[in-house]
Amino acid sequence: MKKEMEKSKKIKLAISRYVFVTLFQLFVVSGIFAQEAAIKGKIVSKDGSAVTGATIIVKGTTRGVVTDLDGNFTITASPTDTLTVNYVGYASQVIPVGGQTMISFTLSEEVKNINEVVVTAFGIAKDTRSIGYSTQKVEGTELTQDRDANAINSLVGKVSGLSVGASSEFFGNPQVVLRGNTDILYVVDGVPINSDTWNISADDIETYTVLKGANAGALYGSRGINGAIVITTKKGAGVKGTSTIEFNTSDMIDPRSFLAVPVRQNEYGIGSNYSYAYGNDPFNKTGGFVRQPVWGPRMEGQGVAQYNSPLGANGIRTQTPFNVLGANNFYNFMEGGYHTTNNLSITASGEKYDLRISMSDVYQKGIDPNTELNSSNGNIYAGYNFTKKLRIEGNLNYNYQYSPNVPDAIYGPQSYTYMIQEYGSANFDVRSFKNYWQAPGTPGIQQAWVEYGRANNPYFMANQWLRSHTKADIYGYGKLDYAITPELHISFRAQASGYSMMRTEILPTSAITYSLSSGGIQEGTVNGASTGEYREDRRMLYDNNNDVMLSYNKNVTPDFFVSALVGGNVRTFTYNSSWTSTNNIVVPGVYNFTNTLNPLVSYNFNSGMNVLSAYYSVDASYKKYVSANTTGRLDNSSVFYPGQQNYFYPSVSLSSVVTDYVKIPVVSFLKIRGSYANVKGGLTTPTAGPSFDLLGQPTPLGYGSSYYSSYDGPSYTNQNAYSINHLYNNTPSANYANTMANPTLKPFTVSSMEFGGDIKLLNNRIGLGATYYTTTNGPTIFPQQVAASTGYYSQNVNGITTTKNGWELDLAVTPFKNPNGFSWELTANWSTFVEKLKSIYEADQSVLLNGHYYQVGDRLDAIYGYKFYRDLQGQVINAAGSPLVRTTGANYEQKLGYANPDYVWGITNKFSYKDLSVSFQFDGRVGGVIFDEIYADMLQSGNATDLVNGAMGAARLAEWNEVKANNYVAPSNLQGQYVAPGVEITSGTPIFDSHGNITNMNTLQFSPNETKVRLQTGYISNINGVFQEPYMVSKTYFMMRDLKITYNLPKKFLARTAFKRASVSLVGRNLLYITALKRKDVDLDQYPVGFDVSRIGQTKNQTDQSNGYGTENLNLITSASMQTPIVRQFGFNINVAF
Amino acid sequence: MKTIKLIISLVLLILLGSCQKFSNLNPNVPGQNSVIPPSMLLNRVENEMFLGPGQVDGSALQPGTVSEEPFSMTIQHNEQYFVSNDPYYGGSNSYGWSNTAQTYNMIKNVIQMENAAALITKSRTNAYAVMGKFYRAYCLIWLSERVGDIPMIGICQGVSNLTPAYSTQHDVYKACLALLDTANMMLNNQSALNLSLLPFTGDIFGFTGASGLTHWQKVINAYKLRVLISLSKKIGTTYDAGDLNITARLDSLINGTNYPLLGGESDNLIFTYNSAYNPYLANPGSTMGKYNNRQPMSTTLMNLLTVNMDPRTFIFSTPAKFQIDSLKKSVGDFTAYQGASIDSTYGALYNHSAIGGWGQYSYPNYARYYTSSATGPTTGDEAKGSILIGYPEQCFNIAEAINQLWVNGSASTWYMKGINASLSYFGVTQGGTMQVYDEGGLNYIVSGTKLTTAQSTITLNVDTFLTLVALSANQATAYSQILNQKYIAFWQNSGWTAFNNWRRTSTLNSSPKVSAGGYPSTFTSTDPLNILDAQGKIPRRWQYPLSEAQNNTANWQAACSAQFGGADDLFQDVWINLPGSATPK
Repeated sequence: MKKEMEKSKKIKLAISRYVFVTLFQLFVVSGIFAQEAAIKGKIVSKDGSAVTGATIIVKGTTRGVVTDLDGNFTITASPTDTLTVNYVGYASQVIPVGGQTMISFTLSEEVKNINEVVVTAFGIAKDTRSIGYSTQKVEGTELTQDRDANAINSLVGKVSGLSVGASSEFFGNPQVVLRGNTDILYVVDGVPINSDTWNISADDIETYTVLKGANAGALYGSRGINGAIVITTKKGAGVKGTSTIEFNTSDMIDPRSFLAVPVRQNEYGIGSNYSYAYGNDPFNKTGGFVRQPVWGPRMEGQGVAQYNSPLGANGIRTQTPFNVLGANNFYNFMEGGYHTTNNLSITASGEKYDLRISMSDVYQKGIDPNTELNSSNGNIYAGYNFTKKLRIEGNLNYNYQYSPNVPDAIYGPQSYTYMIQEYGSANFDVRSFKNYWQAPGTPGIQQAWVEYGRANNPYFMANQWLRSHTKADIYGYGKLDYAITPELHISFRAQASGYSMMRTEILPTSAITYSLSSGGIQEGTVNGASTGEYREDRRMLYDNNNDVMLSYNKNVTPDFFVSALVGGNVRTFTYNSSWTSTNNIVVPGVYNFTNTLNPLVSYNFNSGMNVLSAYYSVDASYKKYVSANTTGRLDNSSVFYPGQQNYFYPSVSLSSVVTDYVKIPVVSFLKIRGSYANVKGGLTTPTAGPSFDLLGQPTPLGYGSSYYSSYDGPSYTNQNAYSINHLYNNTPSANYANTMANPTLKPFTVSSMEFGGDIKLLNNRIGLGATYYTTTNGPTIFPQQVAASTGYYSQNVNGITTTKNGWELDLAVTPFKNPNGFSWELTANWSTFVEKLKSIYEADQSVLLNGHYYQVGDRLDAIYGYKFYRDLQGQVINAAGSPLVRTTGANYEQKLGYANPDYVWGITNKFSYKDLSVSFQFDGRVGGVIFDEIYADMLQSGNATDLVNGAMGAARLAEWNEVKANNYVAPSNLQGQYVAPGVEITSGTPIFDSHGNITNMNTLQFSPNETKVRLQTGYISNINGVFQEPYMVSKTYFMMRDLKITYNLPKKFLARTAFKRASVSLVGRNLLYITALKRKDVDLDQYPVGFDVSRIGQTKNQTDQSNGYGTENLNLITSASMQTPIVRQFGFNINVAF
Repeated sequence: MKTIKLIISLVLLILLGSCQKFSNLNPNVPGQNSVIPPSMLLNRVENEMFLGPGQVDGSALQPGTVSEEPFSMTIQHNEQYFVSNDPYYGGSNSYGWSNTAQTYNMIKNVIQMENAAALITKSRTNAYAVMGKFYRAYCLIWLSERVGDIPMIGICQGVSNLTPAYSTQHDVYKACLALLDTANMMLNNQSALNLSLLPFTGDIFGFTGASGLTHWQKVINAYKLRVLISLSKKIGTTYDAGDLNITARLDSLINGTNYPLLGGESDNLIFTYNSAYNPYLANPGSTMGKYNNRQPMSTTLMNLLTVNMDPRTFIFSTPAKFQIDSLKKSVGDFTAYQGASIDSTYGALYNHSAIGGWGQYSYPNYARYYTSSATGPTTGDEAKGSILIGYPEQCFNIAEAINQLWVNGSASTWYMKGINASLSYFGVTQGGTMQVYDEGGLNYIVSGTKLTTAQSTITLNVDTFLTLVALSANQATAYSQILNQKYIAFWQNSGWTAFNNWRRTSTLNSSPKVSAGGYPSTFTSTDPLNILDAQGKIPRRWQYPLSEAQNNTANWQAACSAQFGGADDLFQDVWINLPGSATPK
């Protein structure tokens, strides 16, 4: 049944791709499109003199020419094209070709160096000259060639202050971090949408504008508190009466060229204490070697009772040679993947209408076997002018995501990396287990594998343990604009955004999980194996924004220009979800809710909210000296208690282009700007997990991770409510709130002050933008800990205020510029910030966050844990051969480092010569630390390569040789051979203070540690889980993100075809990954965020699938866990328009 | 006209779409004004009683929580029943704890329960009021026993009182004993409990209705006996007669008629497992089930068992592989049962463990405690449930009271009752036979050959054991015998009671590195550090909950000053464990 469903799905996809191709051919064959022709022209200045050296470029292409000494040029363009004229000292100006073959153009005298337009709040386009805060624009075309399956992932490294940690998991949400905060608002054509970032199709995007921080987002209200990514989609604009068809295809292969993957040793095999023996029963249920790590015998061909050793006549397992058979098990198990993205768009416009229809399809075959990702996108835009005064326009985007199998990469026996690399032994070849039902398994009932406690047969998992993802996502708007007078417009807009999704999990009979839960679902057969389960997670979201806006633009006096708008917005949000699971299925292989032994486990969650808003924005400018803007917004939000539901927040900004009124040598442009903004919000949560999580219930699963979808709805965290759990034998119990609700709780506040400037030198060849900002986050809404004796854990207060100070620099240099020859453009960005605790609550001086008491003035991204005791020379103090242990508790931890990077950077170089261009990007982060859980786990498991190299490797070998000499039996007095680095106390008794520190270090005497201990049990075991220090790694990394080689087919050639333009690119992504540490077991790129103040007070009970973050540290990311390895990608892109 | 029509219709559309009105209250959960059946709150409180405070919410929310379930690692190591040979899988042998968990959020639910019941019965005399009194006392004593003075007046009032003052431990016990007395009195008059208006349900221990309350009365009194015994150091001092009335209360419990006690094993307060929802912790269905070979038996327990040829040796543990395979001892030979010393290093423990290929230790009996049939619990605690307040302890408590001459009676009689109740609980009978398996629950393999069923079968000899453990006429020796047998009877039950008994009596000191007071005689750098905290000592108390130190600082500081000279000291005794003359501070 399941198979058939998949099959039909595949057929459907095949059909949709076939349709694409057919459409494509159809349009190629038809010759109804306008032809390009050579156009001659002359550029003159206002006084009539010829302009030499001006560049003429066909807009939207890289084709261009330069005017000669007489100001003449010749260029190939179609009648629908627009030419852009650029000349130093003049504003860029445009000439619509409109069928002319001879053009004479007079450059307007106005000396405007930049009149780049950016889209700000509500889709209002503004000249960057008049903007008093920091924004940055990325052209959509930059991101459609070397594509990632996710459009937002491509923004990485391109914008200062913006970090994107692309998830390597299917439909994993990237961590998009703006000035240290996650939870960024996505706005499409002026209206906020609910986005998982996968519902945005790169081909439909004209520009991405990053509004950094509260200053730019103020007008969007609470949702824009951390800034926004504002997307302008491609419209049907163009010359009336024409149409264009554009086809873009990117095809990339993802070979097994891993950038970051845990690497294991291949010397020692499964077992403990250099010993191993598989039990005498088929499934090794018993005996001393159940669920073993990889501390077993060295694989030297000696006899060991293994999973496939035959039983002797006495019923006792014989011994067979113990050899390295699967050194490359991981590589051999994984598969090469590929992904292909195809887009076809049709743009047309007429006298009264303009329209665009676009269809995209993403297909990815994953590197994990039996995985695929599909995402199809349809986008329609249409505008119609009823009269000159009345225009209606609308846009609809439909996105359908489907994957039959989304692997779970996090720690545990559902992860391939865990099973093969972290806890896998090399004494077998994984490929011999492709038939996972082979003996001693039973088809449909019991898998066969090398052991039955820790891991599953990966082929069994790939084909039987399936987690599907299906999501239909829609957003769109309709807008009516009426020009009451030329200056005064009124517009109405209705917008909706929503999704319907379902995720299922089929847990097959005999699968092993680390389910340790009690009171929920408990598996109950052999060795912790599942009886089989079926689970469904369904979620529906509807988010509706309606607004009315009155706008006015007028030159009040010749010197004084005013643009103002006033509007109202109604946001209506509803959400409904359910999560249901069988509780031990009865008939294996039947995945239906009726097939359950115990009553179903089911949760549901509904929510809704209203936000009524009124807002205004006034822009005013006086002569060429100064531009000012002020906005204000009043919200009425249903999530707060009555009486606290109304809140107002303002913003103001100023800017001035100094070079407009002061001539400065060398400086061609200088702008200074400053702004202040205040935004309020709260009691909503950006993402939603399964229903049980939203209800505050513990996970009924106890293994694996959950999917968190975009939400932006009520969190209901300020409630005195009971939670109902079924704790004992499925009987109901109630627990009264642990956090006291606060009826006077006010919205949290973010205030941001920003100053900056943009300077251009040497005729704009060098441009530098700099921004300094101070953001005061808070008081936030914070569950402040209260004394236990109050009966509660915490009370909601408006507390915790942090101050963040940061710098952002953007550099654009054009060392060479010649549209007909060689050009080199270099852009770079750099950003940094530090966030400190400014105040807590009332007179409090310290606060418990993430298991540590932080003091006012502390950096909140400091990570605390346990460090070794060290003597005055910094040597580790050992006792009995391993590091001296510390007392545990919040008062006993030490600072391990800071989670936030010191700075983030990105550099892009673009070289072009005539029709050929080469560009590549490097980006990275410097500083910050994270706990490398993979390394800790691999030291524990015995698989870390450090355990076969250096001092540890030598000790391990010496210990093994002793075992070997004792006839392969570990003697009871087996000598440890490892001498831990550091010293031991030779005289004196340490005295400890209340933080566990030694106070009498001066009176203690040390000598180098000489005590030999067993490597596994005398050293590794004694530090693992006891200390964090040895596993902390620097988050510094450097990535060669992409390489693009593009060839634009010459006009001459294209003139003979139906094509208006065509380009071919060779692309590579993720080509080089360098970290401060040689051991590249984790893609640090995926952990861009350290401390995130906006996450304070938010809890998740489940691990987030997309980024593997643990359950406790939502506001501070301290630990890096397993991922699906990232791979180098290579491919090509073809873009044609006709 | 057309234009106006369009505008009007769009405006109407917007208004229509905006009509919905939402509340700020979560529609998915009962709010503070909801009518909650008191039984649901009792259910929660009782679950916390079994699991340990804070466990239901997960330890992340409450620092210092430790599972009190049988076979939970910390409690077994700290009570020295097991020794871990592998800290990663088997847990730590360390006493490295600092701040305690707390019980005030349990009390908060108790208050909600009492109020909900009062709403229905329009009276404060009902079954849930009785349970409220018991659980208030249980929660306060649980915490006070760990830390000393605690907030008792003005607690659980939320924002109305964010800094409740501390009461002395003396006052806490005095108030709690009164609560327990009242609970008993109310249960003596069940007809007044309005059971027709509000029947007694929701009890996870299976006590429902009037008979359930009768049952609870015995449990509450047995618990009060435990509390009174824990005050033994105060007996005969100024805090006894006329104050805490410990002796008089003991006498009324043991020799009086108004305070019914547990009548036998069937009256135990038992947590019963069920495979679907509350599986036995060491069930092989859970990951825990595979780890018995990471947890050798401790010498503390094994020496007490084997010296008296205690048949419970075979119930609890397996013979050491080395003893059977290499020394060729029979599986019924007590000398084949060897514990591991908790003060050994992990490396040494590992070397001598079966998992290390050598097998010099005994392990928890896999066949009894780590297996179950697919149809449900069949053996051991999984089938019988785990004792929270039990008859064997009650017998030993009475024997102790008589032995110490606090009350009249026959110590020997109660001592033997206790032993027999324990043997019965573990299914031991004179002449009974049982199979002895290896640590994996299979027949032993000796020299490559499996032992036959006959070779694996032993006959339990209760009589010899009873002769060996007969209560000495010497009072001091007898006292020690009573405490030792009580300790054995606490195997995998009654939470931290065994540890609390050790704190009171300091007899649990098999470890040669630990002196009689529980303090190691010396600290040197070569001392193995895996059993003690970094300071090389076994703590005598827990530190206060972190949230008290942080948010009720003045009161917390005053309490620390009064009791421990300022510091929240892990190594000083709480008042009940101080010599009798010590004044409550």
